[in-house]
Amino acid sequence: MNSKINFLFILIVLIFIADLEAQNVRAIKILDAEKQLPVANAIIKTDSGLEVKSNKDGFVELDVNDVATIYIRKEGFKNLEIKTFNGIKPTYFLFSEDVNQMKDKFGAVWSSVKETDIDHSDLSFDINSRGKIAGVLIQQHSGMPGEGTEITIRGNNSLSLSNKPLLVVDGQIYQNDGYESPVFEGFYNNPYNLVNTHDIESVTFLKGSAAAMYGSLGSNGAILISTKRANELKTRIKVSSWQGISDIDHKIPLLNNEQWINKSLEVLQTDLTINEIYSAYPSLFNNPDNVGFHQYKYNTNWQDEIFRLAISQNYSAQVSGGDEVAKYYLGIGYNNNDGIVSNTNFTRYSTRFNTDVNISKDFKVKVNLGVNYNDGQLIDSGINNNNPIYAALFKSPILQPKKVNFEGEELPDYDPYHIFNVSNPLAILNDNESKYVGYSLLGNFDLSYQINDNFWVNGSIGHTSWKDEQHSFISGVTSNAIVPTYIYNNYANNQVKHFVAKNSSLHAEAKLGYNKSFHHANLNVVFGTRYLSNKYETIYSYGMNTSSDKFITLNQTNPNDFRDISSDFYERRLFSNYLTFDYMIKNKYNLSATINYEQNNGHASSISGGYLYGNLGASYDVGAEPWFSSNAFLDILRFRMDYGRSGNSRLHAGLTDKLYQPKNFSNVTGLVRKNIYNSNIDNEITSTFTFGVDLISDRETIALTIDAWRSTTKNLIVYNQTDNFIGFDGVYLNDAEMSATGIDLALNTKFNISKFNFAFGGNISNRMNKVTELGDNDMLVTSFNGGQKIIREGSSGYHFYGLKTEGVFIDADEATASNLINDSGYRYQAGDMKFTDITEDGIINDEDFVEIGDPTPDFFGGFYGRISYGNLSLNAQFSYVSGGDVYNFTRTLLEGQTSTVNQNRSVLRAWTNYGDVTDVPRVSYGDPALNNAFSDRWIEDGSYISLTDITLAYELPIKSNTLKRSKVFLKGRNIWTSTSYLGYSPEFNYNGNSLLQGVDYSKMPVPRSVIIGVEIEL
Amino acid sequence: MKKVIYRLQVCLLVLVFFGCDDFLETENKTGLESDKNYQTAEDVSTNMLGIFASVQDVMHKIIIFNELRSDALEPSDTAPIELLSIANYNDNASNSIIKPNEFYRIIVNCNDFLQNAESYKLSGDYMSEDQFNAHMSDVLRIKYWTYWNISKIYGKAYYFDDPLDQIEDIDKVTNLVPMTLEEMIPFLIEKIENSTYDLKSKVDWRALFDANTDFNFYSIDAEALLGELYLWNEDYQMAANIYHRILNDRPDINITLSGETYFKNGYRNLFSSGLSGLNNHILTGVEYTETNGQLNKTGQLFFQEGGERQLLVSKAYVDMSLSQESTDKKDGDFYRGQRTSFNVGDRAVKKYTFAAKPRVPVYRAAELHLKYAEALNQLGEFDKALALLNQGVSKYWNGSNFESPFDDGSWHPKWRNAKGLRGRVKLASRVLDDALSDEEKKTLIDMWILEEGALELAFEGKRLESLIRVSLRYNDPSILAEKVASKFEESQVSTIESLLMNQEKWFWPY
Repeated sequence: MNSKINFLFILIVLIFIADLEAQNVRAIKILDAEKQLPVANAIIKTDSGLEVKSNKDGFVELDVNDVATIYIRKEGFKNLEIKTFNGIKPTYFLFSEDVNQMKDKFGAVWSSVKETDIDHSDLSFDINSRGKIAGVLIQQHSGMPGEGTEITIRGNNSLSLSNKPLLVVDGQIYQNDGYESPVFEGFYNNPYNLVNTHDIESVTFLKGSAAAMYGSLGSNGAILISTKRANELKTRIKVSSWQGISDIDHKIPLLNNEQWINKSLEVLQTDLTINEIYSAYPSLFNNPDNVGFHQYKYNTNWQDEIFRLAISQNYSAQVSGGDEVAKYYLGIGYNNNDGIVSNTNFTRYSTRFNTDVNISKDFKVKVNLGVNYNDGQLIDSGINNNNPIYAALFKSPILQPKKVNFEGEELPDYDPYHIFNVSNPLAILNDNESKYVGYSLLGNFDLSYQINDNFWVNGSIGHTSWKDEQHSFISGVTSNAIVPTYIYNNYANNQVKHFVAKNSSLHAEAKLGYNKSFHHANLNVVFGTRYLSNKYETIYSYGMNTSSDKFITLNQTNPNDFRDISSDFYERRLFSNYLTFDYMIKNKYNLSATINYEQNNGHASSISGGYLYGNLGASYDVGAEPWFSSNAFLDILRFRMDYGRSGNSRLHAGLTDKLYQPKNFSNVTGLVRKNIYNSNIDNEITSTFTFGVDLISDRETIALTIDAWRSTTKNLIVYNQTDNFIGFDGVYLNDAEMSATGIDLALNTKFNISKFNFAFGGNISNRMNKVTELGDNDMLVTSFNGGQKIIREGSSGYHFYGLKTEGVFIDADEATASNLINDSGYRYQAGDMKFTDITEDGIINDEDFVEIGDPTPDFFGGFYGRISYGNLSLNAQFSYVSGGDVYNFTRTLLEGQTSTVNQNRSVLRAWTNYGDVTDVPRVSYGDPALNNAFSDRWIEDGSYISLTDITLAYELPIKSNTLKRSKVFLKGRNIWTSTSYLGYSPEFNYNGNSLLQGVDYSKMPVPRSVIIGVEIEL
Repeated sequence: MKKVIYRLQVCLLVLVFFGCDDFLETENKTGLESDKNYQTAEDVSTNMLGIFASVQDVMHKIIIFNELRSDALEPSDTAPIELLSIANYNDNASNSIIKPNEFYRIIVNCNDFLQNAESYKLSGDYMSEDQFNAHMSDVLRIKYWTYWNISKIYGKAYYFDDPLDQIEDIDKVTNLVPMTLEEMIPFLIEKIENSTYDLKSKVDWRALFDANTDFNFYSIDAEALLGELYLWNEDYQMAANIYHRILNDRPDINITLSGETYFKNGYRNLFSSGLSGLNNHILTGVEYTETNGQLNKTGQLFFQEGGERQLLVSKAYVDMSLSQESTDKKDGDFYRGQRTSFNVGDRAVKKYTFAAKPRVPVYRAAELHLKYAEALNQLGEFDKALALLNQGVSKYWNGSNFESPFDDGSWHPKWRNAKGLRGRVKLASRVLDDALSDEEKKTLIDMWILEEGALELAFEGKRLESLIRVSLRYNDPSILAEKVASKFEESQVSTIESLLMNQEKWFWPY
């Protein structure tokens, strides 16, 4: 704390120290920053009225007496403005117009990164941002086209509420909590694809307290998207297209037909006699004399049947231009991505229209409109008879896709699911209907009026809405190719599901601003008021058993079987008044603050009053000191410090009031209590302190930025189990506290050797988390499908919680000696898993659970390398995650050896004879020993390093009056990944929920792709 | 220009200081907000129906406790571990089936109703005083019945009247001392006997809804509950009086347990719906309308995905059923047993799998006969008890009136057709050896009643509690222990028996 006070003290003192002024004629050299060549004929002007040009060696001599500002201009380069109070350097570098300077990329006071170099060859900006921004972990949910990524900025600050950063498009808040589809299990909609990458000017990631100005929406950081506007009057046209092919990285090694038959016989023999097996499963004893021989004679790798080379294509065009009064930007795009699983697809049509109208010199109007239409064909994930990937992994290799008659002729229908009870994956993909349609609209209207030199006002009103509709028909009654689902005591031979999610929000904001330039300082003050209302509504309907697979709508489902309709609705409102303040002295001391008084409805309705959120930041740039200027090779050496307080009000409305819910009774509906409500439930409050250093060299050959931060979240909401006699399982309490420290580091370098330009860089981030307080609980255990996680006071968050294993019992002696039984009284035998009996009571049960893995990565980031020569450039981007544990749920089924589902080839090393030393236990039908219980056997290291992008680009050397620029490129994405993970892909995220972080239910794997593209600017 | 600035500032301030709270007021549509409930008479009925519906969520627990932990049922190979450990008396309070949450949720809903309905009453509406009182009494009955079941299953219960609106209210009840089973019995008798509401009153649903609607089937029968409580309280005269009153005095109860057609066509339909004639046999029942989204957890136990049942009938039970002496040249207790309750071959329970809307009886006429016989036996009226158990009161009808011991004039002439529990399903009578002493006779008849109950009320959630009641009566835990252990493999019998000699192990922990 002392060091903080000292720093502030020095800062304040320094503000009042007068600087010495230089008074003489100075020689200045002007160089091209990239080529390091002198810039001749640059125009140098001063505010004292001098105007000179540099000579051919880039030199100019200038009398700097009474000069406060020097302006350097040269066509093709960015303008340079030098304040003499910062000293005059002997050399100045000019950067060409199209270079994105590091200086502009990093925030001067706040921890923020502004990306202007947006890759256009994907649906949304997030996929290509993986590994590029320090402190920001971006992971693809899956390889399902259109599903997108999960973005977390500096890790998770909440255990129960959303951890997604706030999304702001052109100043307008866009609610992006998303939803998990009830129709397509595991599908998570992607809010980031609402803007075509071509239409994005920049994306800014606000980290830590930088986002505190957004109050209770800011604790997860924020992502600000600026869309493109016309920046010149001349008409500009850009057209581009790319085409790509994608492919699965690798398949999982499965048993072939003979191996499968042997394994299945082994498993079945633990339950049945060989005669019983013979009569129940004659296909396991197939030979050409059997009547059904032809049905069971194959050796199919079902993965080959469902995965394919997928094609994607994108076309887009942008036009911009206008006159003195009105400028416009129009962008349209068509993007069609096929998934690597047959018949999956996602298509987007996007348009954006932005206008800038100058009604008078002082009165400006901006109108922005973005409209998208999406449609697609999706698949189910998860433990589900309708998941084609699971079906392909589990289905017996002796079968094949189409029905075969006794003569061995293939028939047009799909083969049924047979006694092995696994759906035909091709029937899932071809006989079902799985449609997705989405619309989104973003519109805003923005007026600004410059009242006088210092005052301005701005008002904006915006509306965003989106609607997603999903329809699925799961066939089966006619074809018998998909295993019926058992639900509410009914067999669903076919199913119809329909889901609609609607979101609409209104954002209104009014601002009064004051700008004032003093001799050595600049002051900006904004007083604003903001109103946000966001309505979210879902409707889900379900029916089953239409009379035939030809009937696929809800009204054709059987009214006597189970039907379901459910819905959800909530509205979030937020109203805030804020004052922001930014004061810059001599380009070196910068003080910035926001005070935000906010009222929202993300708390119990009995709490009244508002919240005070805000931030305070200061920075000091040594590089702007005059005494530093004469010799320094550094342009910026900046020390930053900030503190902020923000919140999380994204509570589900169901927690804030005492509520009743309907409960069906007989043929009517009754009402019952829904909850015991918490009349004190409140916003979670996160405070962050960051200390940062930015170091950028003159020519920007080196740019290093480091943030060390610490955050504390109080009022953290956790689910507390109540005593069993309370009637409700538990309540949500603001009972916990969590603190975290972390470092985000990014280094960028560039240099050239003869005509080769090189750029290398990378970033690394970590987050050390600690749950410091857990209310009255020592620990919280939460179950998910297949396992459970625990949070303990003092631990870093959710950890996997299950049994520990010590290999497999080698023989009967070892098993007997252990004297262990499981919860149901089964005594462990040779070949069973040897679980650690933590309680030493001789019983393996949930009391023996220990922490067996931490799904949070230790550190993550990315690095890149770029080489360019003339018009040719090669760019490679890697991203990596180190240390996050993964629960490979799919492997529990592929290595379980408890039924006839096909298995991973690893089961060939299963225990079979006394003395076998192995990690895979014996076969056992139904698993009475519970060898496959949730244990560290299924926890794997999820670390990976992936070449997320490698691009070879060539700028065509053709230039004319009409053709401004043209470029072709060849791109590989995810073409190389190094990991020890045994599943399809270590990069996945089930649904963004902290609880399911690191749980792999085998969603569609992230593919590798090759893309070829062209861009032409006129 | 100054003026313009001033005006703009005023505009901004107006925005700032007006209507913040109105702006933030949103309707909570994720549920019905409490201030919108209990506004009308219909709300009162709707909330009461919600409580009826909540009873659906506990029936499977009552059945699992009584049948899986007694000699009746055993887990199948594919049963989940929760059921396995319950069957093996390997109890764990974290077992999701053992958890009493659903029982207490009924209590919370009842308390909520009792508190809020009172306040509705003051506002006045079209619901009459009688109707209102009937609602209150219905909810009170469910509350007492629920506490009674909690006590029987868990051996203890936390009694409270607070509706637990919010978290602070939880603190009011967490420090309560639970009442034991022994304490609960007189406590509930007192509550029922001295209730301010007439607990026999029933809602006139036809007047409230329409002529075809009647939910009184689901309404707990106060007298049946009270009779049971007196029986447990060993107040046998009171119990006998109440059972006599229900069976003899009520016009709408099919007391006779008679009729040839009964067991041939109708018996199994006790567990399905739609036969109004047989409805009379059920005083109170629980029904699941699965098409209206009501998860039938009871049915799920016996009819599982892929044909794999979670629970099977124990071999000991099958033997008991088959070893009964038939008067109809059938295998043992044919009509109640393999015709209705289970399959001999695969030992599947079929009682609840006949119909799409299976019913689980809470109180039915046959059970009242058994309990009446139990009370009469304790009062030394062996002949009466055996008549009810064997061939019925009809055997004492001489054409114009009843003979001794049914000649006291209190027996309605309808009894002349009454077949008795065994007679109705064509089983031979149990006959007492006159050489036995009265005490020996009493004990023997009690054991017969226990066995008859196991056969008659098979898998209906009555078995273990009967064993508990009788074991407590004779202060002899071995009655329960031996019966339960009989279904286990020989190697386990002694372990289970000695475990169950400890009364505390009978109950589920929480």
